[in-house]
Amino acid sequence: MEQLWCDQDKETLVLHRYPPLKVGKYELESRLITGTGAMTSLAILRESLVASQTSMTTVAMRRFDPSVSVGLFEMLKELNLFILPNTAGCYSASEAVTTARLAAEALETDLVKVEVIADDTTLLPDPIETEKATAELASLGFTVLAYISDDPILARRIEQAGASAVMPLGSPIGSGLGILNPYNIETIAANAGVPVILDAGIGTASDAAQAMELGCSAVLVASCVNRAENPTSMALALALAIEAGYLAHHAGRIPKRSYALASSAGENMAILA
Amino acid sequence: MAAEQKITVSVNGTEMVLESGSHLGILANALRLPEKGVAIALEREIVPKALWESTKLLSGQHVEVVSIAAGG
Repeated sequence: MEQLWCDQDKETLVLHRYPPLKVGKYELESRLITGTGAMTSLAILRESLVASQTSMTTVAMRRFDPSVSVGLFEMLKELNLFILPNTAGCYSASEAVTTARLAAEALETDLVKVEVIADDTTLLPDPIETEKATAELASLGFTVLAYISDDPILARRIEQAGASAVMPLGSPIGSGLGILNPYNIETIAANAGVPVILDAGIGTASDAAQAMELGCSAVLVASCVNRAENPTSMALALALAIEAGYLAHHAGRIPKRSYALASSAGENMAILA
Repeated sequence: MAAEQKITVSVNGTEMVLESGSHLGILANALRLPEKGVAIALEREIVPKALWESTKLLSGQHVEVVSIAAGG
C-alpha cells in the first residue's frame, strides 16, 4: 500500500500533504495552480496568492501597459512563482504559437498554457486548433499544458501531440458550475500518461476536492478565487480541498451501494425485545 | 529636408515619430520598457532582445510590444 506522503515528513513543516507535482521538467510543490484573471487589485491578488500557497500562476500576454504589466511581473517574481503564460484570446493555432513564442521571449520560459477558444460566447476550446498548436509548440521544445474540453479521446490525442499536461474543463470558463461530467474526468485521469489538471468551471472548494477525488493531479482556478467575495478565504479553502481530495482519492473510497450496509456487528445481540 | 529625418512607426496601434535610423533599442528607451518581462514583434516577427540595437526601424512599420497582463 502506498505510504502517505505526510507520514514521511513529520519532522519538518508540511506545507502540502501530498507529493510535488511533476509537469515535464518542472516540479510544483502545490497542486493548486492559480490564475491572475479577473483579479480586482494587485494587493488582493497578492494576499490570495500567498493564502493559496500556489507554486504557479497563469498570466495572459497583452500589449505592454506600464500601469499593469510592471507591477504584476515584479510581484510574481517577488513571490517566486512559476509564471505560466497562456494563449487566451487566440482563435487559431498560429496565433497561439506566436503568443507562446512572445511569452518565451518576454518571460524566458518554455512553459505555456495552450488555450485556443472557438468563440467568445461559449469560450469552449477548439479541439483541432488546440491539437495543432500543441504539436507545433511541443516540437519547438515548449512545455505545453493544454486546455481542452472534457473528452477522453481528445485528451489522449493531445497527450500524443506532445502535451506535458492535459487540462480538461469542468465546465465553461467563469461559470462556476463545477464538474459537469465527472465520468469523463475520471476516465481522462485514469488513462492519462501525463498529469491531468482540472481547469475551468470550479466554483467552490468542494469542486476542487471532487476533481482530486476523481484522480486529477492538480486544479487550476482563477475566477473562483478572484471573483469570490473574499478571495483570500477561497484561496485557502481550495488549497485545503485539494489536499483533502488527494488524500481521499488515495485512501480508496468505499463503493457506492443501492442499499444500506450495517457497520455495527449483527451478531451477539442482547435479547431486549 | 526635416521630414526625411523622421520616421513614423505604429507601436501597439499608436503612431510614433522617431529619428530616422532609429533602432528597436531606441524605441524601447523611448517607451521606458523594463529590463525584463517584455517582448517585441516587428512586422509580426519576434525580435529577440539581443537584436534590438541592430534592428533598424523603417517608416510605416508595425511594432507590437507585449507583456504580461492578468489572465486565467
